[in-house]
Parts: sequence; structure tokens; C-alpha cells
Amino acid sequence: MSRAATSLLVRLGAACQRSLGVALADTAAAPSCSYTTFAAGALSAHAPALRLCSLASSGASPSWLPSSGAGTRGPSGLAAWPASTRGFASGGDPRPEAPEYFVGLGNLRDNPGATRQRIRVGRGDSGRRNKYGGRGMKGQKAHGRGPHILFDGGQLHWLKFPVTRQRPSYEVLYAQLGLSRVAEFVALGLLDPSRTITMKHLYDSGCVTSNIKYGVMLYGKARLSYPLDLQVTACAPESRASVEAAGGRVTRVYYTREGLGAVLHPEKFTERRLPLPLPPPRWHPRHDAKFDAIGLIPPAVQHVQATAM
Amino acid sequence: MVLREAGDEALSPHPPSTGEGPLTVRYPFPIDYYANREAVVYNLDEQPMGLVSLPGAAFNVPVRIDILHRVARYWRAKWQQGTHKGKSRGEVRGGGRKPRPQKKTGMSRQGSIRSPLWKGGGCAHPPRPRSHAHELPRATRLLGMRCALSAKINEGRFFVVDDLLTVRDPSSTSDSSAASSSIRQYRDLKDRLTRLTAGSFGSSWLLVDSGEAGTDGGVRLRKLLKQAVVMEAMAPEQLTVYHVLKYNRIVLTRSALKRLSDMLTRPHRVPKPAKHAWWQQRKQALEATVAELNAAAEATASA
Repeated sequence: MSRAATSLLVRLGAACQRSLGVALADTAAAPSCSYTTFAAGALSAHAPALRLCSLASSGASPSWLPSSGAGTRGPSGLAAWPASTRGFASGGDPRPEAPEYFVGLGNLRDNPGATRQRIRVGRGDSGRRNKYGGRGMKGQKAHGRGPHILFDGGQLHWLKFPVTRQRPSYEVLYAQLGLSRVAEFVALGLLDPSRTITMKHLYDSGCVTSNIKYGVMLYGKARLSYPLDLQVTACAPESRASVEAAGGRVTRVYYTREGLGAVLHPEKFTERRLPLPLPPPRWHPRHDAKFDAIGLIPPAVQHVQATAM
Repeated sequence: MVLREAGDEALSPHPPSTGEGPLTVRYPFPIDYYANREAVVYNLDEQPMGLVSLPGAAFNVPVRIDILHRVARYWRAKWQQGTHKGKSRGEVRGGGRKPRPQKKTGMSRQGSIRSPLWKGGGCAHPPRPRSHAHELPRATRLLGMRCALSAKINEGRFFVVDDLLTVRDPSSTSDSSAASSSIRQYRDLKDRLTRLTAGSFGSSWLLVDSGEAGTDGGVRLRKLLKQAVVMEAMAPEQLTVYHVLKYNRIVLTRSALKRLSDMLTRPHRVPKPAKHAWWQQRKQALEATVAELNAAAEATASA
């Protein structure tokens, strides 16, 4: 690549750093390895009679000799060819800090702690679990399986159990959907931003992957550049703020279980020629702060106008 | 008395490992990990034919002894026959009748002469024919192959050859076969390989060609090596870490090396295929645009 083109790429702010790196690396002079030389003499100069590896060595000196191996320095100042010291002098070379070992099938091992000793029961007095094998003396547990897990010993009659379960608030049960995922799907073309995006569209396009039983809750921040009209069951304040900053709006619609099922799977009614259920006339006053509108069945889809709301 | 620190490494049969991190082999020379390397391609007359690049991500990784151990164990367990079986008390012939009455005999109560307590009785928990294969993540197996090949390169036992059955002249072009001789005997091949791999440590060879259908080795090579003990020929798809470690020297052909480095450099799974495909298209479009602009810039620069 010419310098002009490189600077052009840099100015364009190439999105993919890796393509830039790949392009630059291809033109790199030489890999930074001690074994290579790109000198013209690499191929033209006939290789010495004995060579150790296909890797081009850093010098033409006969570096395989054990006597010259220890101190030989290549022309580039790097360490000598590794196998030079190793080839024939492995047995008698007294350098305990760098023994010459070859990795083979005979000297592999796993990390310490990778394996544990197996527990073997009833194998003599030298072992840890002889005679009773960890079961103690007699009893139902020693002779077989113990009682079932909820058995309390049998002598208690009237019991008070602590509260071990809480029913979560309804917002927890909504399918959580991130605003950035919605933006991704709009960018991929799977959701249409020019029309209202309802929970049926989210479900059909695969934006919300699981079965929607109670509703969809929108969360998260995203920087949007286009207006969106969303109809969901609940919305976090920051996602509402980011949608409205782009000129769109979020409507929190109220559906009953049956109504939501009719919205998501209308074929359950249409294939049996049954009428779609009517939406409820109102919601309980305790939900007054949670919803903006009663959802229609089927949902009302309109064209989006860029209105700053 | 502390004996551990003194010469523990020198006394142990395992290769020395770096102090930090999981069992990585420490070599007495510095290595620039993940850097691309070059290998010289020889023909079987020991003449250099050219250079071939070894991508660093596949051939220059830190050598993990524990990963090699796990992958070798995986292959050995896979190849286990598992045809072991013992008889339990129900399978041993006889033993249906109660040997003596429950009470009044003064001897212990017994129900069958083939219970595990008796001589000649069945085994309590006999071995059953089963598979000993276990699963290992694909990423671990690929890393094992990369570590094994890097170890071979670091030890100087990695060779690249252009053809295993024909000796082509390096100065001639690839198409002309005028000055080329072919190897017809196992003895000839073994002598040539001995001379080619003379300095490296070991005496067995693993030859990797392009498979049974390939032109560099193939069915002919395998026929030559049928009786050989010190040599084995494999295709790069059949290559395993066990074989790489078992044979001392590894000799690859050019096409086999290319296929192997492709297999080891390519990502082994795509996390989200649809999204990945979309981003690939976009990247290609971007690169096409950049190439166009480059060409235009070069044209204007030269003009």
C-alpha cells in the first residue's frame, strides 16, 4: 500500500482495526524471530552439509558442533541455534539450569490438583476407610438408603415453617429486552422502524427469544439516530429518555394473559374461527402509574412520524 | 532440610517449566511467541526449494505440557478397546438353589453357591464392556496440536519437503518433470530422510502428505511404509497430538502444511452465524471501497 493510501485509511477511521493491522503486517520487512533471515544468501548459498531443521538458521556457521554451540552468537547478535547444544551433548552437559529435554509421550504431566485420589472402601487396616467404610455402626443408613429427604425424624407433630419463598413483583417476570438489541435488529433490517414496533413484531423477528408470558420490559441506554414507536409492557426511565431524545415514543400497553396470548399467537383463534378476545375496559387503580394505554387486540400499528415528544 | 529448591528441576524427568502460569515449557533461548516464522522447503536431495511461512498463531505458541498430557490421554482413551467383561453372580453357571437350610445347621446362612463371598462365585462389581472415550473441548484439542507442533519446531525436529516420492530439481519450474527421479524403495526413502534430518535428535519419522489421494505420497507411499516401524504416513486430517509426540521427527509436504495451518488458524466456531455473516459482508464492502480508493489514489499519484 502506498503511503497516501495508508493515510487515507487512517483518515477514514477504518472500522476494522484488524484489517489495517493485517495490511501493515503483510508489508512488514521480516518476522521478529531469531531463526529467519531474508538475506539473498539464504537460498542461493548452499546450505551446510548438516542442518537441524527446515527453519533457516541465523548464520551459515556449522553451529551443530557441541563445542561451538555454547558460545556461538549469530551475526544478528541473537542466541545460537537451540538444537546445536542439544543434539549430541545432552547426556554430559552439566548445566542444571537449562537441561535439554524433548517433549515426548514419556514426560507429559497435568497441572497439580488436576487429579484426586480415588476413594476405595474396605481395603484393610492400612487404609483410611476399612471395616465400616465410612458408614458407622448399624442403622438404616448403614444397611441401605436413609429415609427420604423431607423426613424430620418422626417425632414432631405441628410445625411452623419459615417463609422460604416470595412471589416476585410482576416486573421481574417480564421478558427483559435491551434497547441496544432493538437497535441492532433495526440495523439488520429485521425490525421496521417506519411502523410501530409491538411485542408481536419483537417476538416474530426473534428480538425477544423466549416465550413471552407476562410482557416485555425495555431497559438500557442506546444512542439512537432515528425515531422509534415502541409498544411494550414496561420501560426503564433511561431507555424512555433515549428513545424520546431521538424523537420517538414508548407506550406502556396493558394486556391480560389471554390478550397477550391472542396478540402473539392469533392463529390459535383464527384457525378455529373464533373471535379474538376483547381488551379489558380498564386496569385496577393500583396499576395507574404503570401503564399508558390499554393494548388493542390485534395491536394498533401506525406509521411513525418524527415528532419530538 | 530443604531439598526442594536445590535441584528439583534437574532431577525431575519432566521438561522445565516457567515459574508463572500453568506448565509451560521453558527453553534455554528466548522465543518471540505468536510471531510468524519461515521454514525452508527442501527436496529429498537436501536442496532448498523455497520458503514457506508458518503463522505464529498456529506454530509459535507457548508449549503447554498439561494440555499435551490431556490431549494424549484423550486419544489413548478413545482408542481403548473396552472389551473387558467379568461374570456376576447371575452369570456364573449354577447357584440357583439354596445350598443348605436357613436354620439349625450350625453354619452360616447362604443363598447361593455363586455369591461373591464364595470361592468360584461371581464378581460383585464385574467389569463391563464400555467405551473409555471422554470429551475434550475442541479448543483444547486444537491448542494441543498447536503446542505439539511448536514444540517440534523449537526442538529443531520439524521439516518441510515439497514431495515425498519424487525428487524434483529446485531450479526447474514446477511443471517440468524432466530432471526428477522417483523413489521406489523404502530403503532409499529412509536413507534420504536420515540425511535430510541428520542433526536433530531421534530416529523415527512421521510423514504428513496430502492423504491417500494426493500426488506427494499417497497410496504408493503407504505401500512402501507398510512394513516400516520407524516411519508412518498420515494425512493432515488424521494427524493427532499423540502421533506428533510419538515420532521424533515430523516431515510435512507443502500442501499438507498449508492445510494444517489453515485448520489451526481458522476460528473453530462462529458464535453468532447470522450476525457474523452480516458483519463479514459489511467488512468486505468496506475493504472493496478502500481498495477502489487506493487504486484511484495510486493512479492519480502515478499520473
